[in-house]
Amino acid sequence: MVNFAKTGVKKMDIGRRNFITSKQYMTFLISAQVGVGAITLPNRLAVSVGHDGWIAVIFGGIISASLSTLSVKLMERYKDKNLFEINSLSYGKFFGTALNLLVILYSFLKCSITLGFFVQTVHTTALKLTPAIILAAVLAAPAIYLSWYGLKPMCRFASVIFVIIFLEFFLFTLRFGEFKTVFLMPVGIFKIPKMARAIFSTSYTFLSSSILTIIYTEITDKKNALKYSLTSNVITTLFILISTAFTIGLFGENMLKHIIFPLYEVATTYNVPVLERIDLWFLSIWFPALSMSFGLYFFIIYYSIGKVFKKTNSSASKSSPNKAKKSIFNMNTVSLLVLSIFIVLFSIIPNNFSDVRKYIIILDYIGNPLIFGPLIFNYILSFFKKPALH
Amino acid sequence: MKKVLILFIVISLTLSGCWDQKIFEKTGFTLMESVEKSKTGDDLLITSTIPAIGAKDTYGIEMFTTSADSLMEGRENRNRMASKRTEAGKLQQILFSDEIAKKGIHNLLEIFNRLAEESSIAFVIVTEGSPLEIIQKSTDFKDIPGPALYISQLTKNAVKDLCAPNTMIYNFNIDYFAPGIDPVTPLIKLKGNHIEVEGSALFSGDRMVGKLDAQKSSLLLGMMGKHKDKEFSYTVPMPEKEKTEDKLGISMIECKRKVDVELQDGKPSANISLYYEGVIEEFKWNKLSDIKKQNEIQDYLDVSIKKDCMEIIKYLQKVGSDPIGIGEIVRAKYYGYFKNADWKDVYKSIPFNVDVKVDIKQYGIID
Repeated sequence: MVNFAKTGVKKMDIGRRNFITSKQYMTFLISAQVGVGAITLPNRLAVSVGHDGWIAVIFGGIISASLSTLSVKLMERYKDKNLFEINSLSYGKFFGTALNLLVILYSFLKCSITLGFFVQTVHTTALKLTPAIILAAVLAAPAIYLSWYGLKPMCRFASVIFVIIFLEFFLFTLRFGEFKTVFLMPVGIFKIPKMARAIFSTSYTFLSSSILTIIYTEITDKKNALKYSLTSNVITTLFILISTAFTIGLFGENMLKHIIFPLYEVATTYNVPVLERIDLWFLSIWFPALSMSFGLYFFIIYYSIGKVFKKTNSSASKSSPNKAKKSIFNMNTVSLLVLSIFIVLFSIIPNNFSDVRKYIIILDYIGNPLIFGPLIFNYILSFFKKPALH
Repeated sequence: MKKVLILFIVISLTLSGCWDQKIFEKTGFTLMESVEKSKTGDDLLITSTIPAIGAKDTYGIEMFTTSADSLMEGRENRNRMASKRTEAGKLQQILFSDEIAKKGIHNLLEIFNRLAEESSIAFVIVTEGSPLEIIQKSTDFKDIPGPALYISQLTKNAVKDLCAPNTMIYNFNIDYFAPGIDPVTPLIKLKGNHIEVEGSALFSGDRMVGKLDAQKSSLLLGMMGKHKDKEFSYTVPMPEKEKTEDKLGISMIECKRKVDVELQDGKPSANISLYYEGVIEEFKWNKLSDIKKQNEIQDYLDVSIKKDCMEIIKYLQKVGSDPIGIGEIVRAKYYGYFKNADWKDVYKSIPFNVDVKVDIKQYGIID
C-alpha cells in the first residue's frame, strides 16, 4: 500500500482514483484478455494444430498462471516498488531505464495493434466505408476517457465482461444442437513443434497477466492478489477453452481455418424467429470487451508515463503545492492527448486484418522474451540484491 | 479536458456512420437468388427477386435476370437495373439448378461467407429443371406473399415434416469442409401448377450425385441424427395378412440413433441402430387394442423400415455420398486408417447393417 504520509497530498489525490482491489484487478484482466483473445484465437489455433487447438489453450492458461504467480511473488519481495523501479534496481540505471523504455515501447505497439484489431474488426464486419482514422478515434474514445479518470472506473466498467460471457454461453447453448463431438476427435494427434507454435500464439492473450508488476502498488488488498490473479487466469482459460472447443465442434477444423472471427461466425449461424440475424447484436455486445483490451494497454502506458514524471512533480510539490497541482493536471492532460493521438495514428497503419495478424505475430516474438526474461531474472536477482530492497 | 470530450462526442455523433449509412427506404432487399446455366452454356443465368414496396400489385416483386460469369457480376448487373440499391443480407434462399449442382456449387457460395453483410442462414436449395421457370411460375400464384417467401415457407414446412434437410449456406460449407461428411440439400421442382418439395439432393463434395424422395429423405435424416423435435409420416402397404391394398400410416414422433463403426481385418463396417416412437395414423377399421396385433404391426414396421434404410444406404454408397458422416466417425476412431485410405473409394464397399425398433405409443381414438 502506498504510504501517503511520505508521498504527500498530491500523490494521494492521483493515487486514489487508481486504487483497486484484487477482485477489481481480476475483472479488469479477464475483460482485457477475453476481448481480444477469444474472438480470433480459435482460428489461429486451428491453423496451427487443427482440432487439438483447445489443448494449446490449456497449456497457454498454465503458462499464464505461472506468469501471474511469478509476478506476484516478485512483487511481494519488492513490496512498494513497481516493475520500472525494480528493473532500475536489478540492472542499474542505464540498462534498467533502457529496459523500461523497451517495455513502454512494447506496450505502446501492442496498444496500437489492439486498437488496430478493434478497428479492422468493425471495418470488416460492419462499417467498411467509414475511414479507419474516424473509427480508431471513436473506438478509442471510451477507453481514453476512462483512463483519464483512473484505474478504478476502468475496472468498474470492465465488469460488463461477465454479462458478455453469460450471453456467449447462452448463444453456445442455442447452437449446441449442431455441435459434433467427432470434430474434436481424435485427441492429441498434434506434432510438438506445431503445438509449441500454437501455445506461442496464445501469448497475445495471456501475456497481459504480467501487468500486475506495473500496477501492483495500486492494489489495496495485496494479500489476495495471487488468489484473484489466478482466478482470472482460470476464468479466462476456461472461457477461451470452451469457445475454442465449441467452435471446433460446430464448424470443424477445416472450416475454422477459413473463419477469422469464429465467435462472431457462431452468431451469424443462428436464425432467430422474426429478427433472423443476430450477428450485429453480438458484435455490439462484444465492443466493451474489445474496448477493455485496448483500454488495458492504453492505461498501462499512460500510467507508466505518469510514473516517469512523478519525480518532477513530487519535487515541485515540495516547493509549491498549488503550482504542482496545476502542473500535474497539465502534464496528465498533455500526455493523455499526445499518447491518444499517436496511438490512433499507429493503429491505422495496418490496412486490413491480415496486416493486423502479421503484426500480432511479430509482437508475440518481441513480447515473450521481453516479459518473461526480465521477470525471471528479476526474481532470481531479488535473492542476491537483498540490501537494495525497500 | 471537458472541451476535448465535447469535441469527441460531437465528432462521434456527426461523423461516424455517415459513410456506411444505408437508408431503409432506398434499399432493395434481395430475398431470393437463383443460379443456372445460361442457354448458351458459357455463363451463368442469375435471377433475383426483391419485394416491390408500393407497387400497384400488393404482392408485387421486382425480378431481375442477368447473364454473368459470377454471382458478384450478376449482382452488379442487377444493381444497374433495379430502382433501389440492392442488399442480400436478408436472403431467404439461393436456388441452384440440378445442372449447375452436378458441376459443383461450393465456389458459388463463397461470397456469402466472405462478406459479413451477406446472410449465411439462407437455404441452399436444388431445383429440378430451371429455377427461373419455377420463380416465373410462382409469380402467377396470386394467393401467396411473393415467390421468395412462398418457397422459403415451403422449405421450412418440409424441414419441419422431415421431408427435406435443414441446409443453410453455413451447413453446406461445414459438411463440405469436413473430410468425412457430404452435404445434402432440399430438392424442389415444378409439378403442374405447383411447386413441390421433392426430397433431398445428395452431394459428394460439392457436386450433386443423386436424389431421394420425401419419405426416404425422412429416413435418411433419422439416420443422420436430425430427427429432433420433428415428426414425419411413414406410409407402407398393409401387411399381407390384412389382405387389403390400403396403406398403413404411422407418424414417427421421435427417433434415437446410434452409429457404431468397427475396423476388423483392416476393413471398416458400420451398424446403425434406430429406435422410433410412433403413433398410428391410418390403418383400417380393425381393433388395434390386441397386444398380439400391436406386436405384429411393430415387427412389420421394423422390417419395412430396415428394408428402406438398407436401400437408401446402398444408393448412397452407389453414388458415393456420405451424408450420415460414417467417414467422420472412422476419422475420429481410426485416424491412422482414415489418413491412409482413399475414403471415397472405401466407403462404396463397406458392409452396413441397420437395426430398427419401432415402438408404437398411440393407436388413435378409434378401436
